[in-house]
Amino acid sequence: MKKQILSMLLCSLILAMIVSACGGNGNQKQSSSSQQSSGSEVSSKPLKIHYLTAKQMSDGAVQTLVDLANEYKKEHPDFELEVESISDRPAYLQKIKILASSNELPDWFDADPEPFFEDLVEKGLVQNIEEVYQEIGVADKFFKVSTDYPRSDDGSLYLITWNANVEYFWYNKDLFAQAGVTPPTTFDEFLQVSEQLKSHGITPISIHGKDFWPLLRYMAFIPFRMEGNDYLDKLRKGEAKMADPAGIKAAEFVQTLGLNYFNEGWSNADYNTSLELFLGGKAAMYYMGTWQVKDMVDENMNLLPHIGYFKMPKLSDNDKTTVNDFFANSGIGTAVRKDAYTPEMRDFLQFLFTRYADKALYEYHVIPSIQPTIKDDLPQIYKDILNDIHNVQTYAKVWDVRLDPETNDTIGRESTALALGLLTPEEFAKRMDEAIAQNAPKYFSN
Amino acid sequence: MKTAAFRYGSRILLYAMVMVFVIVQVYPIFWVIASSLKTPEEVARNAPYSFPHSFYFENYINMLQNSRIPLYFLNSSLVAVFTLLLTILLGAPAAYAIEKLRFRGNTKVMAFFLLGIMIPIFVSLLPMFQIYNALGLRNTYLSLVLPQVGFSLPLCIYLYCGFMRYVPNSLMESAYLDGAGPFLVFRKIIFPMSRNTTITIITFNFIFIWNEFTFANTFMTSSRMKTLPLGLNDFVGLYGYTDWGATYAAIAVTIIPTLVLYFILNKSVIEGMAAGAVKG
Amino acid sequence: MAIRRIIEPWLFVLPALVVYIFTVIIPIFWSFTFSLYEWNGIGDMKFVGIDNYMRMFRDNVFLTAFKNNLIFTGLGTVVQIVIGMIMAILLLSIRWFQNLIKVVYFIPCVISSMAICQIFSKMLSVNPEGVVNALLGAVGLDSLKAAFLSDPDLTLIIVTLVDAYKFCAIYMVIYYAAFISISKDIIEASIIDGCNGWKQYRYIRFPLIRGIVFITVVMLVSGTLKGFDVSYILTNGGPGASSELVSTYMYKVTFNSVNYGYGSAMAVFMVVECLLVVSLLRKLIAQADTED
Repeated sequence: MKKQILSMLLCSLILAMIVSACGGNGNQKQSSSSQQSSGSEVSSKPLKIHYLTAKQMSDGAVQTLVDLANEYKKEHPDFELEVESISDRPAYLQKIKILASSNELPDWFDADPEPFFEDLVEKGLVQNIEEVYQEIGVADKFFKVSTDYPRSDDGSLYLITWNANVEYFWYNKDLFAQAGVTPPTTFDEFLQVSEQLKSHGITPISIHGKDFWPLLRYMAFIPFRMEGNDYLDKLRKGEAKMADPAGIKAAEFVQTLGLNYFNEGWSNADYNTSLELFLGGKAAMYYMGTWQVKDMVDENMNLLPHIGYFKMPKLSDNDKTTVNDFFANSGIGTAVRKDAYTPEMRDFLQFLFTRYADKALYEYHVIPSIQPTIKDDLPQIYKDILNDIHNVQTYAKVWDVRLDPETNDTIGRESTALALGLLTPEEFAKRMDEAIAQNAPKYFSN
Repeated sequence: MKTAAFRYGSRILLYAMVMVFVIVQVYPIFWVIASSLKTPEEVARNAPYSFPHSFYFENYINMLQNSRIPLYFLNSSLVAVFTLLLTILLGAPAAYAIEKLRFRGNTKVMAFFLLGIMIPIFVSLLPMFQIYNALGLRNTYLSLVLPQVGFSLPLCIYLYCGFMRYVPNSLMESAYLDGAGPFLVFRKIIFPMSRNTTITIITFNFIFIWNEFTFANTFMTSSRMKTLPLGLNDFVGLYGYTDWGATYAAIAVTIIPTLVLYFILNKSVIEGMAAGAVKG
Repeated sequence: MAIRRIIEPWLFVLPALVVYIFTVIIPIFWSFTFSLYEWNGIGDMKFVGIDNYMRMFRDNVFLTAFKNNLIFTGLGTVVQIVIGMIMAILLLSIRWFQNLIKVVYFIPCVISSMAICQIFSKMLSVNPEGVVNALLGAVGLDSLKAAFLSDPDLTLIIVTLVDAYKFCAIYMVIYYAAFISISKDIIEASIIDGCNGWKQYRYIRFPLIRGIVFITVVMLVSGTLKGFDVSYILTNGGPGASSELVSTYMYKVTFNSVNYGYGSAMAVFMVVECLLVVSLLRKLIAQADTED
């Protein structure tokens, strides 16, 4: 009797497996690319967009999109926007790379203008966004940085952006007053300020090492001041070397900071920890982008009284870039698969772009990539940020996006070792140059 | 002769050690639950080992609203059950054939399986992905079950063989004399006897299947099909900012049923084993 | 009848073989093929022969990872066996709540690696101060306070111990089950012969479960040579490459750097390495068995 039950159980389980296998299969087919238009009908054809995003579902930009999609659906019942979110960046990247290598890219997917994406562009897999903007007529409504940052090397644009960010040094006014320092305007002053803070028992800088990009910003500052974006552009191809003066200076700067002025245990701190260290008044300075501004403001969206900010200091009077040139970006962009761009999608995008900016800013407190209408009661800090975004001339390019993925892996590892004093700047430069020499030819064959 | 005091003292020491281990092993779950009841400010500002000020249930609400943890739990469970079932269903008979049915080439087959013990499961990630794509098998339970079964089989067969080697052939021979075929012998005699091994295999593999992340991330594109480890990542933000409160709530919610289940299963399993020992 | 006798065993083995070949063997050959090329998934595949292997043996990070992995395996295996054994013996010796305590001991296994690593990360942190540093301060050992996870000399040991912590209860369960299945007659006979307490363990119980212990050695070695979770999540292999393991490096090369060829070469290396180690182990075990 028991055995009969057992064998029946087994059979039903196996049956369930088969059914779920088929069921899952069916679902997958449903959510695949939007259908081709079959003729010239007056009514809109069904449009289903599968959007694989690297942002969280609760991210302001994503919420805005979902809201607007629901609005659009009311007029267009055949429309569907399905958002799939993988917010852990490495997991997201791994997924998209595997999808790409099997020709299974979703209709919309997030990407940065980095070498892997450039490969996709080269293969003609993604839609040219510049053309899209021109078709719809919204090109000039975007902030300059939102259309420039995601451009490829050759100036072509293949990514839609949803945010606009600038990056500042946020600082704690109370702690500064305690140590008797004022915001630095040069990097020498920056080091002096840090030293002064330290001598008063205050942790000068809060940074998290679990992600590599914050440290790479500190690495990027000095070369950006010395040579603008040229250094990075040449470095990634191996035409400039880490052992050049700009590179060595950068390495020395990073090492000085790492050994003396970062929060203790920074190399293993995660994003939340370093943010909290600053917000909790335990560190004086914190370099972060304006996507985090919601934590620096009170309920009325005004900047908290004890928090201030200063922009990237200058190196000397011979800088190639001015104080109005610093890091600004537009967050991760969204690419559209070439064969998914249909007239229906264009219509949706048109609707989207007209409504996006104001909704994003006023309802979700996200700084949008399209210029919003500035209402009078918009808090000052937001006005200032929008102003800065508008005025940025040359924005610094981000190292971990421009370097090829293999070198990226190496620099993350080695820069942490450098900042912990495990390598000398010269050794660091040597390793990086070797890595670039090995990897660059595979990615930058021009 | 040991004095009563000595025996009493060593008893105390024994229980003290037991409690030390209990504290050490229990600390994570206590920590997770305590942290899940803290407000975000408490999580950020107070020492990590402090108690929450009061019971803050927002995390649990957030978690249930913003993600489908119960669904992920179900998916993980299904994958685990199918994988374990299939592993045993395929592995035990294979081991039986290799060890007891003495056919030509059985050592070669055994060695062939043993190759697999050492192979890291990543090796099959890319090839499997391409195969599944071609067969349209992505987003199915099968896509996770198959590779995990494949990689659990070597150890499973190794363990069963190890056990069956010591089962006296006389047992089988008397059954044959009674007219039983090999499958019947396996089902009624050998398999029940290898209960210990079965439990070992289930225990060992369950943990790895339950925690498996890489394959699920690659093969499951639909939110509906995510497994638990994948779902826990739902709370990691864009630039790295993680909603730890919700994550802890999710973890707390999923540990409890697993432990309860384990508790129940364990009782019957141990009783079975102890009973087997008495029979000798 | 004779034919049936030949076919029958194969029927038992066939399903397992099919799944195994499909999911394990074919991918290995596939990977081996990849390892001879340079490919980033969407570009062209470029044949490079054994270049990837040559590169591997000159790659500092890889060699460090290999060395780390050996330490991780050696230390981890010993720790997990010892702790697992201790816990099993403790379980055997108590009279009440055995089942409950067993489940409690099993808790770390069931908690996701993400949670365990987060917990330890917070425990070992220095800013904000975690439990470990707070305790050190409380007993006056201030000088030992440190940012443990930023110290390249300590990270590997920490990763090994956390990994052991998470999985040791598995072995407790196995040893406990093994002890319980020792026939009560033998135990009783030994007590009558005056063999009690520790002596009983030494002369009766341990020898009788020797086979199981050897098997757990094989399980542990094969498991730790492939170790991934804790290193990846807790320290990401860092700082530098101080806690990098072979599988984490392979993962990064394959999926972060998208160098499928090089990553596959490492996969093949792992396969060969593990084959050698396990064969060695089995020979040693067989020797020990015959020395009885």
